[in-house]
Amino acid sequence: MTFQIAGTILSLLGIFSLYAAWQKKGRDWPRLAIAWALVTAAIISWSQTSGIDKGPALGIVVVTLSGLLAVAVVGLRSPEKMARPARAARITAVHKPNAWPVTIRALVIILAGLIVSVAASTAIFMGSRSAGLEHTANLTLTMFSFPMLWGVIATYIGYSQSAKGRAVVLAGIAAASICVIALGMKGG
Amino acid sequence: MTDSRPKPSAKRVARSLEAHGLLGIVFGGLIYILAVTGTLSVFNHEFQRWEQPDAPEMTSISPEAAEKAALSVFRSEETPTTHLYVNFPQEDLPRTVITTDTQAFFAASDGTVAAKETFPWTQFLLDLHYYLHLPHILGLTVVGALGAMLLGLSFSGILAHPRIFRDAFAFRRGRGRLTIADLHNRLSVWTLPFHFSNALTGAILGLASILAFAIAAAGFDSDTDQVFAPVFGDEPEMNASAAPVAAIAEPLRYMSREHPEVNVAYFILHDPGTAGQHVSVIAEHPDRLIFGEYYNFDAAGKFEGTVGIADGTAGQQITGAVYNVHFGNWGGLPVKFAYLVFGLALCTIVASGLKIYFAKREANGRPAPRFAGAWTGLVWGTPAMLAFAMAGALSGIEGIGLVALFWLGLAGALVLGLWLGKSRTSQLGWAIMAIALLSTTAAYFTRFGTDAFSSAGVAITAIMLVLTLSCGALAWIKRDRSSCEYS
Repeated sequence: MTFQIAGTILSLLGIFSLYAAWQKKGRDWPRLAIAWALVTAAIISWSQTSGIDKGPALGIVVVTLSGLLAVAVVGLRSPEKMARPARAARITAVHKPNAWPVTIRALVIILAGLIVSVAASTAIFMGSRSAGLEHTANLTLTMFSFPMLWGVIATYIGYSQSAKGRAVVLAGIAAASICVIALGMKGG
Repeated sequence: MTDSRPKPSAKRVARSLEAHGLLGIVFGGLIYILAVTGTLSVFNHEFQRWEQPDAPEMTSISPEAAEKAALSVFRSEETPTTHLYVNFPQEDLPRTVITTDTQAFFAASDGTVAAKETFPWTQFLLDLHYYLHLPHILGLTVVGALGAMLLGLSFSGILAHPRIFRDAFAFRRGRGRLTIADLHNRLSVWTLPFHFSNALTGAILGLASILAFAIAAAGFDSDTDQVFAPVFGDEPEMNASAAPVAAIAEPLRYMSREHPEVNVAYFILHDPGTAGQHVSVIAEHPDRLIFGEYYNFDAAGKFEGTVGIADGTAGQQITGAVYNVHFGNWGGLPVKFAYLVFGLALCTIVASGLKIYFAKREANGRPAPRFAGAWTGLVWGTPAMLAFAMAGALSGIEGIGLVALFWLGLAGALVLGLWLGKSRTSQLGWAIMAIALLSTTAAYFTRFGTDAFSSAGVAITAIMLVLTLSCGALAWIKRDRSSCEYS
């Protein structure tokens, strides 16, 4: 119980210190360092309350809840201001969105994103296997990499303005992945 | 001469926002449905219990009684089952259930077989969250892909907000679009550990099949079993020749004698009544995030060893934690409530994200009122149709009927939103929610009478009543406000 109470207090103190540090105009590095140290100490304190993985997870939940609580308090305490009237003068007609560019990018994200991220993840697995990484660690690494790669690729496709650039990057990743997979298959 | 070109950082922010908006527009609707159903799924055991409040309950069952019930169900099967399961009473679901390939029955604490287990709405909810009601592998993959897109939304959101940490406490009240943007950004930042880990674990669970196919094709002669066997253990060779049914009570006695510190959750008899039958007992380790450890036994009930989810390689332990981290069933009711808060935050983030997008369009002179209305229809329609489906399930609708009710109703909500526009849809939303919840509560009382106040029914019934009254009151207040606005 002591660690739970200490962890909760440290978490609230850490979040308050972060609030105080970020409210200042300039960057207050010492205060920020103290705030993050308190947050870390909260997680460490909670990690003493349970197993190797569950303890820190409980700490992260408490810190997250403390943060939400702080935002709720700040939100309730902030003065209510009237919204400026919407700028309506420029609107002459209801805009009909052109769905094609969005549809094409969505298809690229789904199809090319899937294929390239599967290829890259398989390459990570085969490459790590060739490098001698233990199977379950390798599989876990690959399982975690696959959705993250797809998420990064989706972000990149939305971010990039050049269709040619997108094609080159995706084709490049796919080609490199195929080479690594082929080499891995050859090596057994 | 001044340089009129935008700064590189401004360019990066604009492009990141474009990527963020693109992912939101394309995938936001389905991600929202997954967020709502995921939030409710955290309480799937509580909902199962609520759907059948008259089932026999107990805190534990003796190995002998569990064996008696399991054998009774097994012997009643017309076609031999390939797996026989015993689900043991848990804190959030204090019931013993015997399950075969085709049916499930409750067991009383003396081992007699009681009523058939049936929870059509909870099953409908889980099928919606796991598969979006699509065929299983396809559905899992689509849901997994949406998890990956949610990760993409997190990445692009972080890139789009260079002051994301410094503004972590900024909140402007009563400022229309700015307030919604603040709400979206603050909730996104503070629940980042939750929605990032949840999107990642959801995507891992959903995309595991296609990744296994790819890895197996590249490195294991297309044998997917070899990919996961080192993590979850090998399936022993099948031997279909007849044999007496394996010992059920003995492995359970062994567990309570040798491992009293763990919590036996499931007993699984693979290929019962065959020479190749074998037993796995899944036991939860209360101090861990893992879903449990497999304790394996032979047909005579002799302990053969564990798989290593609890104390094997780091890879096994991390993979074993993915399911629980996603569903929030690793820390009892407090963690479930925390997941409820985080899940509601995620629903708000997704709903407000598209609201900001449409508001920005309007502010830039490119309004899309029909689409904005349809989005509002989806935001309100999803919880409302879940509640109507619940009322339908309590009135006897099951399976495909519930699926049709939900999706057709949701399509109706979208059309209504397109037709009415966002403001009127939003006003109607509270009233429709109140009606949906009232129908559910009425259907529940009609079906179960005083059992609605039993320990299995009372908590959710009370929450339903409070929500009904709250939604009704808010609908009334909104109605008054709108009549003032129009007068």
